[in-house]
Amino acid sequence: MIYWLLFMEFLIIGAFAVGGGLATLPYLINLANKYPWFTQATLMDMVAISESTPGPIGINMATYAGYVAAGIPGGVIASISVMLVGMIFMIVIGRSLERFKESTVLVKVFYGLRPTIAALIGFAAYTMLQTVVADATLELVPLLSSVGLFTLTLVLIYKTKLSPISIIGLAAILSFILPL
Amino acid sequence: MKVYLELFIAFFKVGLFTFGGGYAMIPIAKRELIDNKNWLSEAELMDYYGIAQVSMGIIAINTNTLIGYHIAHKKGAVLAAIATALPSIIIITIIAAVLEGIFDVPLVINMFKAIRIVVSALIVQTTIKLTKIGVVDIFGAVLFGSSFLFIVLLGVNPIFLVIPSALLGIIFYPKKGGKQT
Repeated sequence: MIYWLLFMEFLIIGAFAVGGGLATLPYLINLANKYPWFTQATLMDMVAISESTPGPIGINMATYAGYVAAGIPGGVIASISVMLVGMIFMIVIGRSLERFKESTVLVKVFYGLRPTIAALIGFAAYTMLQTVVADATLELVPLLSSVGLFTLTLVLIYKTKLSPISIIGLAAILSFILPL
Repeated sequence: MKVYLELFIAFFKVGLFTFGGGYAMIPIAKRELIDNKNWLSEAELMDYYGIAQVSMGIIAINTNTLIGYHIAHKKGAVLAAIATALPSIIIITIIAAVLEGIFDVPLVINMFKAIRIVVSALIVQTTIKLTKIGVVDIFGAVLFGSSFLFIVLLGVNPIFLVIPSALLGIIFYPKKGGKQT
Protein backbone atom coordinates (compact mmCIF):
# COMPACT_ATOMS: atom_id res chain seq x y z
CA MET A 1 0.00 0.00 0.00
CA ILE A 2 1.52 3.25 -1.19
CA TYR A 3 0.40 5.39 1.77
CA TRP A 4 2.05 3.07 4.26
CA LEU A 5 5.24 2.96 2.16
CA LEU A 6 5.28 6.76 1.95
CA PHE A 7 4.78 7.03 5.70
CA MET A 8 7.65 4.65 6.49
CA GLU A 9 10.05 6.11 3.93
CA PHE A 10 9.50 9.71 5.04
CA LEU A 11 9.60 8.75 8.70
CA ILE A 12 13.07 7.32 8.08
CA ILE A 13 14.15 10.38 6.07
CA GLY A 14 13.04 12.65 8.93
CA ALA A 15 14.91 10.51 11.43
CA PHE A 16 18.20 10.55 9.56
CA ALA A 17 18.34 13.95 7.88
CA VAL A 18 20.31 16.25 10.18
CA GLY A 19 20.97 19.85 9.19
CA GLY A 20 17.80 21.12 7.62
CA GLY A 21 15.60 20.67 4.59
CA LEU A 22 18.25 20.25 1.93
CA ALA A 23 19.78 17.42 3.96
CA THR A 24 16.75 15.36 2.90
CA LEU A 25 17.77 15.63 -0.76
CA PRO A 26 20.15 12.63 -0.89
CA TYR A 27 17.39 10.47 0.62
CA LEU A 28 14.86 11.75 -1.90
CA ILE A 29 17.24 10.90 -4.75
CA ASN A 30 17.43 7.43 -3.29
CA LEU A 31 13.60 7.25 -3.29
CA ALA A 32 13.52 8.33 -6.94
CA ASN A 33 15.77 5.40 -7.81
CA LYS A 34 13.91 2.92 -5.64
CA TYR A 35 10.27 3.64 -6.58
CA PRO A 36 8.48 4.76 -9.74
CA TRP A 37 7.01 7.73 -7.83
CA PHE A 38 9.04 10.52 -9.39
CA THR A 39 12.22 11.00 -11.42
CA GLN A 40 15.42 12.81 -10.51
CA ALA A 41 14.49 15.58 -12.97
CA THR A 42 11.20 16.13 -11.09
CA LEU A 43 13.29 16.33 -7.93
CA MET A 44 15.33 19.23 -9.28
CA ASP A 45 12.10 21.14 -10.03
CA MET A 46 10.98 20.32 -6.50
CA VAL A 47 14.11 21.84 -4.99
CA ALA A 48 13.70 25.02 -7.02
CA ILE A 49 10.03 25.38 -6.05
CA SER A 50 10.64 24.44 -2.40
CA GLU A 51 13.29 27.10 -2.07
CA SER A 52 11.18 29.93 -3.45
CA THR A 53 7.81 29.15 -1.87
CA PRO A 54 7.13 30.06 1.74
CA GLY A 55 7.63 27.48 4.46
CA PRO A 56 10.41 25.18 5.63
CA ILE A 57 12.22 23.62 2.63
CA GLY A 58 12.10 20.10 4.08
CA ILE A 59 8.33 20.20 4.46
CA ASN A 60 7.90 21.72 1.00
CA MET A 61 9.92 18.94 -0.59
CA ALA A 62 8.09 16.21 1.32
CA THR A 63 4.68 17.64 0.37
CA TYR A 64 5.71 17.88 -3.27
CA ALA A 65 7.23 14.40 -3.42
CA GLY A 66 4.28 12.87 -1.58
CA TYR A 67 1.81 14.65 -3.85
CA VAL A 68 3.54 13.51 -7.02
CA ALA A 69 3.65 9.95 -5.68
CA ALA A 70 0.10 9.65 -4.34
CA GLY A 71 -1.98 12.83 -4.63
CA ILE A 72 -3.21 15.01 -1.77
CA PRO A 73 -3.20 12.26 0.90
CA GLY A 74 0.34 11.39 -0.18
CA GLY A 75 1.50 14.99 0.30
CA VAL A 76 -0.06 15.22 3.75
CA ILE A 77 1.30 11.84 4.88
CA ALA A 78 4.84 12.59 3.64
CA SER A 79 4.91 16.01 5.35
CA ILE A 80 3.63 14.75 8.67
CA SER A 81 5.89 11.72 8.74
CA VAL A 82 9.04 13.65 7.79
CA MET A 83 8.61 15.90 10.84
CA LEU A 84 7.39 13.25 13.28
CA VAL A 85 10.66 11.90 14.71
CA GLY A 86 12.17 15.37 15.16
CA MET A 87 8.97 16.56 16.80
CA ILE A 88 8.88 13.72 19.34
CA PHE A 89 12.57 14.18 20.04
CA MET A 90 12.05 17.92 20.60
CA ILE A 91 9.22 17.25 23.06
CA VAL A 92 11.57 14.99 25.06
CA ILE A 93 14.29 17.67 24.91
CA GLY A 94 11.80 20.40 25.82
CA ARG A 95 10.78 18.48 28.91
CA SER A 96 14.37 17.92 30.05
CA LEU A 97 15.23 21.56 29.35
CA GLU A 98 12.45 22.59 31.66
CA ARG A 99 13.52 20.15 34.36
CA PHE A 100 17.19 21.14 34.19
CA LYS A 101 16.64 24.84 33.54
CA GLU A 102 18.80 25.78 36.51
CA SER A 103 21.46 23.16 35.77
CA THR A 104 24.88 24.77 35.55
CA VAL A 105 25.98 22.42 32.78
CA LEU A 106 23.12 23.59 30.60
CA VAL A 107 23.94 27.24 31.31
CA LYS A 108 27.56 26.55 30.30
CA VAL A 109 26.51 24.69 27.15
CA PHE A 110 24.37 27.61 26.03
CA TYR A 111 27.16 30.04 26.91
CA GLY A 112 29.28 28.28 24.29
CA LEU A 113 26.43 27.70 21.88
CA ARG A 114 25.10 31.24 21.47
CA PRO A 115 28.11 32.88 19.77
CA THR A 116 28.20 30.01 17.27
CA ILE A 117 24.47 30.25 16.62
CA ALA A 118 24.91 33.99 16.00
CA ALA A 119 27.68 33.07 13.53
CA LEU A 120 25.42 30.52 11.80
CA ILE A 121 22.69 33.11 11.38
CA GLY A 122 25.38 35.51 10.16
CA PHE A 123 26.39 32.89 7.63
CA ALA A 124 22.76 32.63 6.52
CA ALA A 125 22.75 36.40 5.99
CA TYR A 126 25.97 36.09 3.99
CA THR A 127 24.54 33.27 1.81
CA MET A 128 21.31 35.15 1.28
CA LEU A 129 23.23 38.28 0.21
CA GLN A 130 25.25 36.16 -2.22
CA THR A 131 22.02 34.88 -3.78
CA VAL A 132 20.70 38.42 -4.06
CA VAL A 133 23.92 39.60 -5.72
CA ALA A 134 23.84 36.62 -8.09
CA ASP A 135 20.21 37.51 -8.90
CA ALA A 136 21.06 41.10 -9.69
CA THR A 137 20.81 42.41 -13.22
CA LEU A 138 23.74 44.61 -14.13
CA GLU A 139 21.69 47.42 -15.59
CA LEU A 140 21.23 50.79 -14.01
CA VAL A 141 17.51 50.73 -13.22
CA PRO A 142 17.26 47.18 -11.77
CA LEU A 143 20.47 47.69 -9.83
CA LEU A 144 19.24 50.96 -8.32
CA SER A 145 15.85 49.43 -7.46
CA SER A 146 17.54 46.45 -5.77
CA VAL A 147 19.83 48.62 -3.69
CA GLY A 148 16.89 50.94 -2.98
CA LEU A 149 14.68 48.06 -1.81
CA PHE A 150 17.45 46.72 0.43
CA THR A 151 18.00 50.16 1.96
CA LEU A 152 14.28 50.77 2.32
CA THR A 153 13.94 47.49 4.26
CA LEU A 154 16.69 48.48 6.69
CA VAL A 155 15.18 51.95 7.16
CA LEU A 156 11.70 50.49 7.75
CA ILE A 157 12.91 47.87 10.22
CA TYR A 158 15.03 50.30 12.23
CA LYS A 159 12.93 53.45 12.03
CA THR A 160 9.35 52.16 12.06
CA LYS A 161 7.39 49.51 13.89
CA LEU A 162 6.42 47.70 10.67
CA SER A 163 6.69 43.94 11.09
CA PRO A 164 8.86 41.79 8.81
CA ILE A 165 5.64 40.30 7.43
CA SER A 166 4.31 43.71 6.39
CA ILE A 167 7.65 44.59 4.79
CA ILE A 168 7.64 41.33 2.80
CA GLY A 169 4.07 42.14 1.69
CA LEU A 170 5.10 45.64 0.72
CA ALA A 171 7.99 44.29 -1.34
CA ALA A 172 5.64 41.90 -3.12
CA ILE A 173 3.41 44.84 -4.09
CA LEU A 174 6.36 47.06 -5.05
CA SER A 175 7.69 44.27 -7.28
CA PHE A 176 4.88 45.05 -9.78
CA ILE A 177 6.39 48.47 -10.48
CA LEU A 178 10.05 47.83 -9.68
CA PRO A 179 11.99 45.99 -12.40
CA LEU A 180 14.65 43.99 -10.52
CA MET B 1 -8.47 27.43 24.66
CA LYS B 2 -7.64 30.98 23.64
CA VAL B 3 -3.91 30.44 24.08
CA TYR B 4 -3.99 27.48 21.69
CA LEU B 5 -5.77 29.51 19.04
CA GLU B 6 -3.31 32.39 19.45
CA LEU B 7 -0.44 29.94 19.29
CA PHE B 8 -1.79 28.31 16.17
CA ILE B 9 -2.27 31.63 14.36
CA ALA B 10 1.17 32.94 15.33
CA PHE B 11 3.00 29.83 14.14
CA PHE B 12 0.89 29.62 10.98
CA LYS B 13 2.07 33.16 10.17
CA VAL B 14 5.68 32.20 10.84
CA GLY B 15 5.36 29.22 8.47
CA LEU B 16 3.60 31.29 5.83
CA PHE B 17 6.19 34.05 5.72
CA THR B 18 9.39 32.03 5.98
CA PHE B 19 11.00 32.31 2.56
CA GLY B 20 14.06 30.08 2.54
CA GLY B 21 15.47 27.68 5.09
CA GLY B 22 15.08 27.66 8.86
CA TYR B 23 17.23 30.78 9.22
CA ALA B 24 14.76 32.88 7.19
CA MET B 25 12.27 32.13 9.96
CA ILE B 26 14.27 33.92 12.65
CA PRO B 27 13.33 37.56 11.86
CA ILE B 28 9.62 36.62 11.60
CA ALA B 29 9.71 34.48 14.74
CA LYS B 30 11.46 37.27 16.63
CA ARG B 31 8.72 39.77 15.81
CA GLU B 32 5.68 37.51 16.04
CA LEU B 33 6.66 35.38 19.05
CA ILE B 34 9.02 37.60 21.06
CA ASP B 35 8.16 41.25 20.36
CA ASN B 36 4.42 40.74 19.92
CA LYS B 37 3.66 37.88 22.31
CA ASN B 38 6.56 37.82 24.74
CA TRP B 39 6.46 34.02 24.74
CA LEU B 40 10.23 33.63 25.06
CA SER B 41 13.46 35.63 25.10
CA GLU B 42 15.89 36.18 22.24
CA ALA B 43 18.49 34.10 24.06
CA GLU B 44 16.02 31.22 24.33
CA LEU B 45 15.24 31.51 20.61
CA MET B 46 18.96 31.09 19.91
CA ASP B 47 19.21 28.13 22.28
CA TYR B 48 16.29 26.36 20.62
CA TYR B 49 17.56 27.13 17.15
CA GLY B 50 20.91 25.66 18.18
CA ILE B 51 19.34 22.46 19.47
CA ALA B 52 17.22 22.18 16.32
CA GLN B 53 20.34 22.55 14.16
CA VAL B 54 21.96 19.43 15.57
CA SER B 55 18.83 17.29 15.81
CA MET B 56 17.27 15.09 13.16
CA GLY B 57 14.41 16.49 11.13
CA ILE B 58 13.42 19.90 9.82
CA ILE B 59 15.14 22.82 11.60
CA ALA B 60 12.21 25.26 11.46
CA ILE B 61 9.77 22.62 12.69
CA ASN B 62 12.13 21.51 15.47
CA THR B 63 12.74 25.08 16.64
CA ASN B 64 9.03 25.82 16.72
CA THR B 65 8.23 22.53 18.46
CA LEU B 66 10.61 23.55 21.25
CA ILE B 67 9.09 27.03 21.43
CA GLY B 68 5.59 25.51 21.45
CA TYR B 69 6.61 23.20 24.30
CA HIS B 70 8.01 26.17 26.19
CA ILE B 71 4.67 28.01 25.83
CA ALA B 72 2.15 25.22 26.43
CA HIS B 73 3.85 21.84 26.86
CA LYS B 74 2.99 18.84 24.70
CA LYS B 75 -0.14 20.31 23.16
CA GLY B 76 1.69 23.53 22.43
CA ALA B 77 4.56 21.63 20.84
CA VAL B 78 2.35 19.56 18.53
CA LEU B 79 0.19 22.55 17.64
CA ALA B 80 3.21 24.74 16.86
CA ALA B 81 4.74 22.07 14.64
CA ILE B 82 1.53 21.48 12.69
CA ALA B 83 0.74 25.19 12.37
CA THR B 84 4.24 25.82 10.97
CA ALA B 85 3.94 23.03 8.41
CA LEU B 86 0.36 23.70 7.33
CA PRO B 87 0.94 26.70 5.01
CA SER B 88 3.62 24.68 3.19
CA ILE B 89 1.36 21.68 2.76
CA ILE B 90 -1.46 23.83 1.38
CA ILE B 91 0.68 26.01 -0.91
CA ILE B 92 2.81 23.20 -2.32
CA THR B 93 -0.23 21.03 -2.97
CA ILE B 94 -1.85 23.86 -4.94
CA ILE B 95 1.35 24.52 -6.90
CA ALA B 96 1.93 20.85 -7.64
CA ALA B 97 -1.70 20.37 -8.65
CA VAL B 98 -2.48 23.40 -10.78
CA LEU B 99 0.25 26.02 -10.82
CA GLU B 100 3.26 24.02 -11.99
CA GLY B 101 4.38 26.79 -14.39
CA ILE B 102 3.95 29.69 -11.97
CA PHE B 103 7.70 30.12 -11.51
CA ASP B 104 8.18 30.81 -15.21
CA VAL B 105 5.95 33.91 -15.10
CA PRO B 106 8.17 37.04 -15.19
CA LEU B 107 5.98 38.90 -12.66
CA VAL B 108 6.33 36.03 -10.19
CA ILE B 109 10.09 35.79 -10.75
CA ASN B 110 10.38 39.52 -10.11
CA MET B 111 8.26 39.24 -6.96
CA PHE B 112 10.46 36.53 -5.50
CA LYS B 113 13.56 38.55 -6.32
CA ALA B 114 12.04 41.44 -4.34
CA ILE B 115 11.17 39.14 -1.43
CA ARG B 116 14.69 37.69 -1.35
CA ILE B 117 16.18 41.20 -1.18
CA VAL B 118 13.92 42.10 1.74
CA VAL B 119 14.57 38.81 3.56
CA SER B 120 18.33 39.24 3.19
CA ALA B 121 18.11 42.73 4.73
CA LEU B 122 15.93 41.35 7.54
CA ILE B 123 18.44 38.60 8.29
CA VAL B 124 21.31 41.09 8.34
CA GLN B 125 19.42 43.11 10.93
CA THR B 126 18.58 39.99 12.96
CA THR B 127 22.21 38.86 12.86
CA ILE B 128 23.35 42.17 14.30
CA LYS B 129 20.72 42.00 17.03
CA LEU B 130 21.42 38.37 17.98
CA THR B 131 25.17 38.86 17.89
CA LYS B 132 24.79 41.59 20.50
CA ILE B 133 22.86 39.15 22.67
CA GLY B 134 24.93 36.03 21.99
CA VAL B 135 28.42 37.50 22.14
CA VAL B 136 29.00 38.88 25.62
CA ASP B 137 32.77 38.62 26.12
CA ILE B 138 36.12 37.91 24.40
CA PHE B 139 35.45 34.16 24.45
CA GLY B 140 32.20 34.74 22.59
CA ALA B 141 33.83 37.09 20.09
CA VAL B 142 36.59 34.58 19.30
CA LEU B 143 34.07 31.75 18.97
CA PHE B 144 31.79 33.87 16.78
CA GLY B 145 34.66 34.90 14.51
CA SER B 146 36.17 31.44 14.16
CA SER B 147 32.79 29.72 13.61
CA PHE B 148 31.95 32.25 10.92
CA LEU B 149 35.29 31.75 9.15
CA PHE B 150 35.08 27.96 9.40
CA ILE B 151 31.68 27.87 7.76
CA VAL B 152 32.34 30.55 5.12
CA LEU B 153 35.82 29.41 4.08
CA LEU B 154 35.62 25.67 4.64
CA GLY B 155 31.88 25.01 4.37
CA VAL B 156 31.98 22.97 7.59
CA ASN B 157 28.71 21.24 8.52
CA PRO B 158 27.10 23.29 11.33
CA ILE B 159 26.98 20.21 13.57
CA PHE B 160 30.77 20.22 13.74
CA LEU B 161 30.65 23.80 14.98
CA VAL B 162 27.71 23.57 17.36
CA ILE B 163 28.82 20.50 19.31
CA PRO B 164 32.43 21.67 19.91
CA SER B 165 31.13 25.13 20.95
CA ALA B 166 28.90 23.53 23.54
CA LEU B 167 31.95 21.69 24.93
CA LEU B 168 34.04 24.88 24.83
CA GLY B 169 31.24 26.60 26.74
CA ILE B 170 31.57 24.03 29.52
CA ILE B 171 35.34 24.46 29.65
CA PHE B 172 35.58 28.24 29.37
CA TYR B 173 32.54 29.30 31.37
CA PRO B 174 33.76 32.12 33.62
CA LYS B 175 34.11 31.10 37.28
CA LYS B 176 32.08 34.02 38.57
CA GLY B 177 31.22 37.59 37.84
CA GLY B 178 30.64 36.89 34.13
CA LYS B 179 27.74 38.74 32.57
CA GLN B 180 25.60 36.00 31.10
CA THR B 181 22.03 36.30 29.98
